Amino acid sequence: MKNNFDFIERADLYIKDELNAEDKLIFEKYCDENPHAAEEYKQHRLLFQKLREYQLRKNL
Amino acid sequence: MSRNQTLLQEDQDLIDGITNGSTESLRIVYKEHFPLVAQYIIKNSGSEEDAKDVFQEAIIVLYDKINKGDFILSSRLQTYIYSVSRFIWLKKLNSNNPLTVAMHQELEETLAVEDDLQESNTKEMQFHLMEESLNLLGEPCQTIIKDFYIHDLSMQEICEKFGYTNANNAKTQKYKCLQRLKKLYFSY
Repeated sequence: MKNNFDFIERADLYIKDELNAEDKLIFEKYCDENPHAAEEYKQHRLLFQKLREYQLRKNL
Repeated sequence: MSRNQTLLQEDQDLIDGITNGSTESLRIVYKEHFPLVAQYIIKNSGSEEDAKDVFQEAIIVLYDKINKGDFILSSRLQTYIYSVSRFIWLKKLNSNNPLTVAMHQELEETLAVEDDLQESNTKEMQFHLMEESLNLLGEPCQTIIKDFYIHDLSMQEICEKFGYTNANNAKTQKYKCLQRLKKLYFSY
């Protein structure tokens, strides 16, 4: 991952299940080896979930 | 302000009053919340005197919690007082006689309702936090974020919708919007 911009783009593809199997493994390995990236991904995924929950609640 | 927010504010005013030793606040709490507690206790083998004792204990629990500074109003005050009163009454019944199966079940249900209420209030708080964060984010960021993360539009579609010269420019804009949203949402 070149920078945070690149990392977030990959994280988006990972969350949306748009990475192929090989790229998925590369992304997971990168997070395993970089605690900062793992933390960043965790926060990113949480925000993604909260956005989705927000929309579901809004649609009620 | 929504009706729910108004009611919570009224409850908060009562709590502030109790914190400041206002007898008027205690009188209002008694007047508004005692009848429901009394109704429950009388219906469950108690007398009006029992109801007064239990209600008094529940108010002491509330008062102690407020004074310790660890009382956070996460549900309506009535729900809190009613749940605590039910709990105290079931415990009292248990000290006189073993709990019946039905009472055990009710005690568990009371605790489960508390958990549910807590979870529901947390979700509600998170919903309002996201709404506020998105509002503060403004346009076009709000729509870009919603389009990409909620409505699953591709970056190419967002690029065309917003008239960016190419998808990379749209990606840069989306990235900047995302960073701002994270700052707003997680800084609360």
